[in-house]
Amino acid sequence: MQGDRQALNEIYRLHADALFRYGIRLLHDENAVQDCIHDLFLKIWSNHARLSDTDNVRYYLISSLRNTIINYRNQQGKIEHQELQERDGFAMDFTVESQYILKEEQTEKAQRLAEAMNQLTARQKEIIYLRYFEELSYDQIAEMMDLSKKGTYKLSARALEALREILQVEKAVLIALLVSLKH
Amino acid sequence: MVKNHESTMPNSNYNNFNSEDFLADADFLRYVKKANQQDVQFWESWLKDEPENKAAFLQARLQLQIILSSKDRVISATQADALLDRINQSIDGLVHKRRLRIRRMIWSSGIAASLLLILFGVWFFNSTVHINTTFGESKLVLLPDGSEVRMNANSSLSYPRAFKWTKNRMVLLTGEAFFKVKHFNQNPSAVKNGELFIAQSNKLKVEVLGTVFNLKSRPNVNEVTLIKGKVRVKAIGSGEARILKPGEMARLGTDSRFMVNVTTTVPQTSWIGNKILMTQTRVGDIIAEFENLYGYKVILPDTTMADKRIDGTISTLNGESMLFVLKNILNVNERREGKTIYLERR
Repeated sequence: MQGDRQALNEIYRLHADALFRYGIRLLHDENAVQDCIHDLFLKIWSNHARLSDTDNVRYYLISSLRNTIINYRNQQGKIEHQELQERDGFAMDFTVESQYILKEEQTEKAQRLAEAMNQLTARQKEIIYLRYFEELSYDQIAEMMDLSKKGTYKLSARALEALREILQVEKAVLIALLVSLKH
Repeated sequence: MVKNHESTMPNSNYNNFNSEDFLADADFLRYVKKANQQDVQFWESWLKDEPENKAAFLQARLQLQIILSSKDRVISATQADALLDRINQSIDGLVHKRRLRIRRMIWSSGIAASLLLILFGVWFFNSTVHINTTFGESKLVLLPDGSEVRMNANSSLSYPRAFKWTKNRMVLLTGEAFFKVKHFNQNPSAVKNGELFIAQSNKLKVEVLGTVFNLKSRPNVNEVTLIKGKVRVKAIGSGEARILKPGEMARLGTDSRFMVNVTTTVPQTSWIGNKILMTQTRVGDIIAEFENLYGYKVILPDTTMADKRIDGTISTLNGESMLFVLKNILNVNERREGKTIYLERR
């Protein structure tokens, strides 16, 4: 029992940052996210879940937190249904003013691409986040977000059409981005 | 997601990659994230050689850069520590609650078991065992103390389920039964609990220590015949009590007083062998016995016939054959109306 507790504390220290980063994008409320992380670890303890395989721990934790947050939101939704609509969804804003982007690359093209990507749906943003920030595999993402491969492709194609029409961004750029999510 | 990039990086055919391929490549992602100085050096030198797909590379890099531009909101170290403390406190609470629950479970199951035991006890000490025989049926009953009771037909015996735990061994009888009572008594002047055996009918009470006797309690006959040992017979109606010696029979008269006769005891116990032994026996008594055993009502043609006395043996094993023998002895015909048999002179 004591060993289990130490292991749980160790897992928390390793993954708390990532869980919070992801959770706050989903829930937009610091206290609520902390409550959800709290509940998640309590559930892990109660279920005596064994988290030994380090490669899967991150995925297990993130997908479990996602479920916890969805449950939390559903419960809250029963109480304050109206307010929730606007806050709902995965928050992710793109900009060219970033430490990653050199001054000479902040072109008009980059600007338009960032704007186009800001128009993606919350779900698509979440997929991108999980793929490039958390570096989960596409299979893991599909499983936790309950997507079939085909479904995601359709989602991407639809978004692609919409974006091309609205922003007239170079098609190849968007194809590259969205197709990369299929693998 | 941690890869050993030394084995994957140098030999990759990055020169054939398009934008999609770059975006799907873990090493490329690591490079754009600037997570590792080695990665940065590798890709910068790769770029210096002006590869043909440089445009695709730049395109993919810009795209990833824009993706990664999204700023994270992070949890502060103090907040993270505070949250961990809160989690640990809650787990302590859970552990405590679980212990309480287990303790409560042990308690409640203990209480449940005790209740069950009490219920069983109440049932055990208050319930009665009933054994009945129908017409023409005989049963041997072994009592919990080892005593034997042979029940004649159309009789019922009952005793408390906690027979061995009661102060006296007590059985109630209607009909007729032959008792072989187990003897426990050591000192006859100091009878201990459980040593006294009481057989009681609605008219008679027989108190014994350990004997063999026959108790008969029929509508017209109430008698006790002692075969072995010693019994005290008490008339419940008048309170009169008699001590019997072996071979004595006490019969309750119509005045509720005893008539004690010395007998051979054989006729009184012959029913055990499914026979009636008759030595100057009244026909009325035999007819009454037939009624007791087989549940018929027999009407004689006249009262003088009932007072006739006969000798011999009749088998009681079968009601029809018993009736057949009786008809021949009495020289009568029968007419039946349901359970009533009318005997008519031939």
